Amino acid sequence: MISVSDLAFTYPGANSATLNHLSFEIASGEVYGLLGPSGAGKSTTQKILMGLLSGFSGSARLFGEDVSSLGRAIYERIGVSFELPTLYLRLTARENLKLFAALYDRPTRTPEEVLTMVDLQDAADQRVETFSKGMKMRLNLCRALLHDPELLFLDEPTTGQDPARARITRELILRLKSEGKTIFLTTHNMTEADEVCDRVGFLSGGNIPVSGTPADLKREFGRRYLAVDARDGDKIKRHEFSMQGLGTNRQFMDLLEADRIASMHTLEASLDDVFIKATGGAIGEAAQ
Amino acid sequence: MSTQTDFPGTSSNGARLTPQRFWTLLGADTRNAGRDPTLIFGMALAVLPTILFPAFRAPINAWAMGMFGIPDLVLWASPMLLVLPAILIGWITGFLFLEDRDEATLMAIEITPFGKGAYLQYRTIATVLVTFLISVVNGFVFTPHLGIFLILFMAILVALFSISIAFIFPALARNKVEGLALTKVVNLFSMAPLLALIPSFWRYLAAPLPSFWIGELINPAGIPGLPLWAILCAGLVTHLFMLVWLYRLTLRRTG
Repeated sequence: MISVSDLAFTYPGANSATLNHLSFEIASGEVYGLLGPSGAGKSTTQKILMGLLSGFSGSARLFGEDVSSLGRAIYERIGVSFELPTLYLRLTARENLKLFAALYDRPTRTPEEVLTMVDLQDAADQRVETFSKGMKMRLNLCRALLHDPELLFLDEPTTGQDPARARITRELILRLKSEGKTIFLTTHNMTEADEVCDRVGFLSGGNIPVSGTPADLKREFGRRYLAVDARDGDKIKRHEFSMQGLGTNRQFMDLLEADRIASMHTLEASLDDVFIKATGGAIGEAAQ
Repeated sequence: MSTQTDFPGTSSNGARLTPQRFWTLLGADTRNAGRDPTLIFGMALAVLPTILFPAFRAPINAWAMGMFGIPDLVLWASPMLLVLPAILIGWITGFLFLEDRDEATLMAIEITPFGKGAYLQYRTIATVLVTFLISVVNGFVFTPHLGIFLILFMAILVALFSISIAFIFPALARNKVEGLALTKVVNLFSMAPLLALIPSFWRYLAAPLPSFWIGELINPAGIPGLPLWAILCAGLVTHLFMLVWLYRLTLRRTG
């Protein structure tokens, strides 16, 4: 669905390249998360793939064709939810959606349908200027879904949303995946990436040094140990056991047999840990 | 390594500007402008001369005659009265352009099959059409002596002037605050047609200003000057030159 090879891009006047030998592939029906610190080039990558930035080198292909040869009709097949609300503030949610629906040739969903998908139906006739940031972001998402696209670019889709609303959005992403949509997600939210992405890539230094499924990465960057909290009189004492030969570890077996275990979990890394290791703990230092 | 230089999405296979789309967009723009107190004031002011002057022409002229001894003041003021709605409509369109750019709705339109280019095309047609219609009515109200051909020609010039004014804002202002400052400069254009009333050849120093030629065309004082064909040509050329220059600048500024 998306194929990027050796992509490089430098903003005019910038001292260093934002993207440098970037390569990755996204299969049809996959949810791919591009993760990285602020300014690492996530939005730049999306903009190149959406045809909003020119002047890059290397290859960027959508639907098997070079992005330069696709033409405007490609926008019938892709939906974009930007990082910031890009809406007509004095119009209502319904008026915004009607306006944008008129810009497609293919049949579109009704405003009510898409508003219901993000639980915004009650605010349909409310002016967007009265919306919270989270509501605006949900309306952004509605607009991306209006024409039922095959490929979705979602840039920080849960920004400004409370945990309950963010969960609704994540469930929507998973539902879209189950319908066979391909989703290119950029986010800072590692929990979100862990929950919805089939694969993630960590963008650092203009390319992706680390990528894989969240489960594989967490194992790879974690320790193969088991942490066990066991009762010791009135106190809880923590023990750590290597996963290697765990079944024959006498101390662990004793705790099991004595029924003293309060809780236990594997010491795999979180995606936050992977993020910090993969990006060297970089926070927003890149050029763009 | 292949080098990418073409701008994707520039081929013409996207959604076209159909009458249905035109009316949908015009409806949205009207609602959008109509909900902003400043813009709605501008809209009201643009049609005020058309509504007010036919009813009050005689009392205004009588008052001016009694006060300053000027016969038919409305005719003398007609060049300005014709240009004023064009400036106001252009100003409204220009501010909508600035908002589209500031709030990135133009970028959201760019990633639809319709695209930014077709959207600019719609705004241009809408502004030209509305100004042309108002100007035709105003032509018959203020300058009926010109005759239908010259009224239509003048309405075309005023409509071109209006869209040029609209492009001044995205072309020269970086945001709405700068746009407000620019409004003061743009207002000076409404005075340019009055320069054509100066009974001296020195008035042609104002020739580069497109709206000067609207005053020259109406020529309420009957001041001797260039032949009509030269006025028509100069008017058309200056208006088209300004429009093309500002349109290109707008395209460059909107990325």
